Amino acid sequence: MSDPTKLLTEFQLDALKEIGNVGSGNAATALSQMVGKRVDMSVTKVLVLPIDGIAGFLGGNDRNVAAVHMPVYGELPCTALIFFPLDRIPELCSMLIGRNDEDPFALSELGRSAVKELGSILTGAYLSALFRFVHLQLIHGVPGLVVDMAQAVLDTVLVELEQRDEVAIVIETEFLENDRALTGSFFLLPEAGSLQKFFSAFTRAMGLPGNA
Amino acid sequence: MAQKVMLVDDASFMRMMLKNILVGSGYEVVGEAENGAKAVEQYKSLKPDLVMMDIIMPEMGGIDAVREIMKVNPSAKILMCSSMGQQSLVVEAIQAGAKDFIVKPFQPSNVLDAVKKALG
Repeated sequence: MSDPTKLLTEFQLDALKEIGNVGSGNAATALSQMVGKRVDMSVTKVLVLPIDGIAGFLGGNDRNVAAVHMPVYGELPCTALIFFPLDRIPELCSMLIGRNDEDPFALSELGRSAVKELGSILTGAYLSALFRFVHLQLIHGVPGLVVDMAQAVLDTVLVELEQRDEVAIVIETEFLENDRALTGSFFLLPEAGSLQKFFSAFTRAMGLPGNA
Repeated sequence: MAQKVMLVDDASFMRMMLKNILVGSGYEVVGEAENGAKAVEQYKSLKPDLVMMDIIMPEMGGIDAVREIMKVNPSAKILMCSSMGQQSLVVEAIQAGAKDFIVKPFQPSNVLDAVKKALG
C-alpha cells in the first residue's frame, strides 16, 4: 500500500465524494440544530491519506486541535476522529451551553460533555450516510475528547488501535455560519484489513467497476 | 400532578438540554443516570412514568437497559434518544420494548410530541 491515493480510481473517488457530501449535509443539519443557527457548507473534500500525513493535513504536528474520538463497531471496525480548530471551541461552547468563558485547554465538565456530544452527533451523521450508500452496519461507541497538538492527539488515539491499516479516509467540510467558516475534518482510521473490505462493499453497493 | 421522567444519557450536556425542554413544559425530572446499569437501579426506586434513554453509553448500553427495565415492569414506557438512527438499531430498540425513537439532535417540539405520545 505504498501510494494510498492509488487505492481508488478517479471514478470511485467521485462516488466516495458523494457519500462525503451527503454525510456533510447531514452533519450541517445536525450542527445547525445544535447551535440554533443556520449552517451552510462549502465543497467537501474526500481523501485517502497515509496515517503519517494526517498531522500535516491538519496544519502541522504542532498545531493545537480539539479532537473527539470514538471506536466504531460493526462491519468496518475503525476509529472515528473529528477535529475542530481550537480557536473555535469557546464560541462553540457559548452556542451550545451559553457560557462565554470556556478555556479550550481547561474545559468545564459541561463544556467537555457538549464538545464530545457534538463530535458524537456529527460522527453519527457521517456514519448514517455511509450506511445509506454502502449498507455497512456501523455503530460508534462512547466518545473521548483530547485537546493537544495534532501529533500528540494522533499518538493518543493510535495507541488504542493496535492493528490498523496505514491509511485514513478523510472527509473535510467547511461549515459556514453567518459567513464564518468552521472547518470540520472527519477521519476514519480502519483496523487492519477493514479498508479493503470497505472498498469491496463500496464498489459492490455503488455498482462500480472493481479496482484494477 | 406533573408526570415523572427519568433521563439516561452519559452526556451531562444532553441531560441538561432534555431537562430544560421537559421542565419548561411542566414535566418533572425525577432522576438522571449516566449509564444503563444505574438507570435500571434508579428505575426500581423512582418508578418514573417515562424514561428517556440514550443507546451508546459505557458499562451498560441503552438497549440492554431497556430489556432489564422491561423485566422489572413490562409496561414501562421508554423513549430512545440516539445519534445513531440506523433502521436495525431502531428495530432492536422497539423489539426490546421501547415505545419510540428520537434521533439526535432534536427540536424541542419533536421531543415533546414523542413524550406526549409515549405517555399517551
